[in-house]
Amino acid sequence: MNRSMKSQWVVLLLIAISMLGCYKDEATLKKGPTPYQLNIPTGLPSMIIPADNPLTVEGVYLGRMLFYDPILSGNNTQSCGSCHLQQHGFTDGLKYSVGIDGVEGTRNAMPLINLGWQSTFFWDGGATDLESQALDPVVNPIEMHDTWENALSEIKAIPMYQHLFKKAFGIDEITVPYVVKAIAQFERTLISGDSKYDQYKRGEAFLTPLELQGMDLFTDMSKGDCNHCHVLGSTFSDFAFRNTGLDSIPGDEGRFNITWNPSDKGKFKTPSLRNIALTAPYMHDGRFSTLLECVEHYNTGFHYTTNLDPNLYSAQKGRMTQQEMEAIVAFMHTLTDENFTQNADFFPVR
Amino acid sequence: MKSKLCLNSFMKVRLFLSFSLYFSLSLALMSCRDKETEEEQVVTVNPPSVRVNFLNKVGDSAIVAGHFYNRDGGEPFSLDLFKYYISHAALVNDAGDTLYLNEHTLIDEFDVNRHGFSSNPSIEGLSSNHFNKIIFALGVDQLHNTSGDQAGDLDPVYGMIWTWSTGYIFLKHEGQFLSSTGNPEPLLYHYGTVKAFTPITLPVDIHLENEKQFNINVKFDLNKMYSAVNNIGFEGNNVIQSTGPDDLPWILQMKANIAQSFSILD
Repeated sequence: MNRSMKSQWVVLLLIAISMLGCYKDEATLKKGPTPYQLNIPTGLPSMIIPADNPLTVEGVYLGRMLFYDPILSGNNTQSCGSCHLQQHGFTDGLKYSVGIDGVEGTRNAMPLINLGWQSTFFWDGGATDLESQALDPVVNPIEMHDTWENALSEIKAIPMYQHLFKKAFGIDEITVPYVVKAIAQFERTLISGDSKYDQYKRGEAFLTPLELQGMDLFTDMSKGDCNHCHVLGSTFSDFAFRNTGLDSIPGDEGRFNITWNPSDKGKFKTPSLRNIALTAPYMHDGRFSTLLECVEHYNTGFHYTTNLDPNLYSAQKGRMTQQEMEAIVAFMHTLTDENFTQNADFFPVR
Repeated sequence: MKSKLCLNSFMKVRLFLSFSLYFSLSLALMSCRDKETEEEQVVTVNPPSVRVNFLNKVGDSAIVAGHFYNRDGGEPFSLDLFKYYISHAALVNDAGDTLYLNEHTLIDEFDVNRHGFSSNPSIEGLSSNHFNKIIFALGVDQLHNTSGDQAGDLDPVYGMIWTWSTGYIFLKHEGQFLSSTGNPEPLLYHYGTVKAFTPITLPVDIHLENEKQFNINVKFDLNKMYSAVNNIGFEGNNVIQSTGPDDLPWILQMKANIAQSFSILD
């Protein structure tokens, strides 16, 4: 090979390499983040995900980082994960959570389970999407008590986040909407559908006679009648707002604070019963510490208040025996999903 | 014979390489030249540039932070913070066509970069270039008022959103007022909710032309905001955040006043 030919080879090689380089860059940009494959268990419908926030592997990972990062709080001591603990179905076992300033909240921390099937958030449904929900705890003075301006500047100052936001969303400038997008992505992956009940439905487990009795009573309209609101199977709630007669005059007007509609006074969101044995205490104000107390409330304890749910209004007080109430509680325990509480994908990133 | 064959194939490879090299080089050059000629050929006509400025005043006085301003029939007040959203501004021509100028703009009295917005609307194909109205709304429309996951001026970082009940704060006035005893007391008004959305129409007289710049100066008079139709008394009424139905009468009174508070400055 003579010299001129050698140089031609070199030039050609250089051109080829530079073209390859262009192609590779373009391909990575076009490809973007990797779509996240949700594993939706049988019994649950397909999840509706906002078109402007599709789940990606990179987005979910970033959301998980942010969820457990205390820089989102005013004094960098609390993260979302401080009051939403996986072993408690992402609630904290307290009647009221305590914020960074030592101030107690006024409502029980809600579990974070199967959020992708819900369209309003908070006990009163004040947040209209999961992304908007994440805006509140960060700035709420009795919770993480930060400002978004401050939290954002702290996030921006961390090179790792610069990198992760670029990977997840292709952005150079981190903004608040992308912070809450990422958190919402992670939250949508918190899916529970592998409880003993689900295994029983799939023919992989047996329910005890007591649990089976409880399941029958659950749907029996003259007994538990739980099924009207906590629809059996699937999400175990229709997530509608109801006044369940907790008080004759509600101290917290609930949904009314959002809609200003008098017929919403004392109404709160119907929670899911999945992992319910792990999320004590119960009700929007954490007034009941056991599931039996909850069932007793629906059996005998409810008040005939304005806006009382029609199903309760027409239910006969004292319609269940002690044994029947215990059977319903036994059935509710079959909704505990240990593959959810022990899922390593939800652990803090270490 | 064998060596000739070798030489032949050697020459062939060499020829092929030369050809490929020159071909790719000329391709690269061609693509460069293409771009240049395209740029030369396009005759660009710049659409009109329209700038809408919002000038906040109390009566005829410009606003200075912390200064107390007298107002008609009520307590003097000051401003430390004054922000509001202007959305879907449009010019309307004689044929009734609308030329949209913005989506949502956050006006912030104390940020010189947030005193208005600019737009370059295309006037091609319009039956009239004479515009007699400007329309806009104070607030954020219902469609955009149900999520905080929005970019630009609707980014929650500006603190113009309620997070416990998703919705934008259409207008914020924070400052002080002088009570009947003459003492300064806090004044905090956060105006919003669907019922607070306030459409405005103002007359203009503008012939838009390509290549030219137009300024529209809109005055927002806080004196009128607190007295144009309903006199808003601050005493005992000085912290209102549109949080419940008890605030509805105030919202509707403010709305009626705000509808009268904008005017065009020459």
